[in-house]
Amino acid sequence: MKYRMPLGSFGSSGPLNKKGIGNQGLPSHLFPKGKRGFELQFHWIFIMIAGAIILAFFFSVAQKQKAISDERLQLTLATEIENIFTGAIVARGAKKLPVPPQGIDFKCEVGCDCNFFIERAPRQFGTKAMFAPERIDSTEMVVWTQELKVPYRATNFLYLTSPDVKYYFVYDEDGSAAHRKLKEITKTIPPFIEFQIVELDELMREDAQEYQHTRFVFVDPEEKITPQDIERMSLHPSFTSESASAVKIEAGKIWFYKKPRKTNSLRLDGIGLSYVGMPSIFAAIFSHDKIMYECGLKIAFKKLSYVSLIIAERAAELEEKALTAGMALCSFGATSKTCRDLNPGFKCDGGAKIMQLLCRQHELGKSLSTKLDIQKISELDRCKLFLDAENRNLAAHCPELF
Amino acid sequence: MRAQIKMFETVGVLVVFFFLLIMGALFYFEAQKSALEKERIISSEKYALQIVLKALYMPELDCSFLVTKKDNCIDKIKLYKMAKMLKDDEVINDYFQEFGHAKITVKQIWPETGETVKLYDYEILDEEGKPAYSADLKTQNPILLYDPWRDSYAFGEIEVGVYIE
Repeated sequence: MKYRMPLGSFGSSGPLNKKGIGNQGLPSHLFPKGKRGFELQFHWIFIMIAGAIILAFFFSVAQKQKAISDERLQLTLATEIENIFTGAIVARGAKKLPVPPQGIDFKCEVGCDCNFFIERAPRQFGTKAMFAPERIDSTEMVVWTQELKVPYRATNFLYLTSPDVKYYFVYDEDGSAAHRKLKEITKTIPPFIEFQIVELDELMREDAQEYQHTRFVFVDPEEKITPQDIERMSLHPSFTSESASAVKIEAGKIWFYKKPRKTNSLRLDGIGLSYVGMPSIFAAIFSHDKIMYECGLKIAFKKLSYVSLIIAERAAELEEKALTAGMALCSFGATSKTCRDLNPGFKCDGGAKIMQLLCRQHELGKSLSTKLDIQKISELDRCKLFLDAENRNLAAHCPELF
Repeated sequence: MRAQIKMFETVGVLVVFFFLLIMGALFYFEAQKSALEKERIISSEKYALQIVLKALYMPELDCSFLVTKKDNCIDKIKLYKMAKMLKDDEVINDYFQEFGHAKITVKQIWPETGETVKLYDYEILDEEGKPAYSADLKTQNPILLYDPWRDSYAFGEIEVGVYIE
């Protein structure tokens, strides 16, 4: 009786012993001896190489496709989030919005290269003045928009925060101005943002809770404590391993603090920066760090320089029209049609006319968009007050300016 | 001899296999390319809408005053002044961050005056300075145009064209 031998993959065959094992301990049908054995071994090597190539090809295609689809998803998400931010910045008020599972990272580098990232996909802040924590990875985030008015709207500030960030407002009980300022701040904050008010003396007793980050806001308009006093203070020991930072709000300055790892004290982050109105106080509260705050303000001042120029030229046009119509009282102080031709050197004081004030704001905005300067910011504040008063005076019998 | 035949058989199978694989891959990548193109167009359309939204709420253009505040409204004087301002290279480069490669025009529809203002135009140019875009996707939106000289409103449209490479 003929014994039909088992076939190799390519139809080759070879003798088997009882156990089906060849002489060298290998299956004899795979590696038989002689010329045929050599052929079969070659076949198997060939199969293995071809198999490996095919497998590697499919594996690399799958890997590449995965990487491309991941990147595409990140870019799509980043674009969608950017669209959400654009929508939020033009809208008013606060709302809660969903966050992608990858989370959103925010970073501003020296030189104001500000981006937000969905994993590795970056998107620039562009002309948006945005203020956010370092990372938002909760399921929802709170977006809140406030107008920067000088007294016309120069731009909108967009604040972003997460329910995983805890805000402590710290004040000195003895200071009535601190109490007033604190009230002014906390009554404006939308209800979605959780915060706690603590007295300065009680701060040491506040232990760390289950939050991703803790932000201390020292409200001290009377400057009862120095910025260095805060460095000397100690937080509750439970904060040693937690992420925390702080800001100190004074009458005209804001100081930023960082908490080094494995310590429970705060360290000053550079020199104090100035602010312009409540929107910039909130900008400091919601900014991850000093750089983000500074860059956001610079973006806003750049915008202010353009808006003020347009309104100044609009004032000149309207004055011309008013004079033609015989409205002699409608004088915006437009001795020329543009700020460029207007006599420079005007300062924001009581004697200045609307056009001069607006042109000065244009100059200040231009200068502040490159470097924040406390004197220029306080002049801007004065400009705002004079402009507001002038505009209200003229509103009754002149074309509306802003 | 038999082994050689088998070898050729194997090579043949492999050739057919790789041929089919390459054909499949080509077909797949072509389908991917057209899907990507569609996605790019959709994203450009969304981008155009974003530009409209940005333009309508810009303090440089809006109709927001002490007493009155109108949504979807552009002040004519502001429009002319901004269009003039955007002729400056430094200024247009600043606004590029906001609008990107796009063209924004504002047109008065009623009462018909034929008035059209080109607010912003930033084309994609090649190294020689020639236009290097394949298409510009246009989106139109109705707006109110405020005329402060006459203190009156007109109907108009804002058209945003996004240049695609």
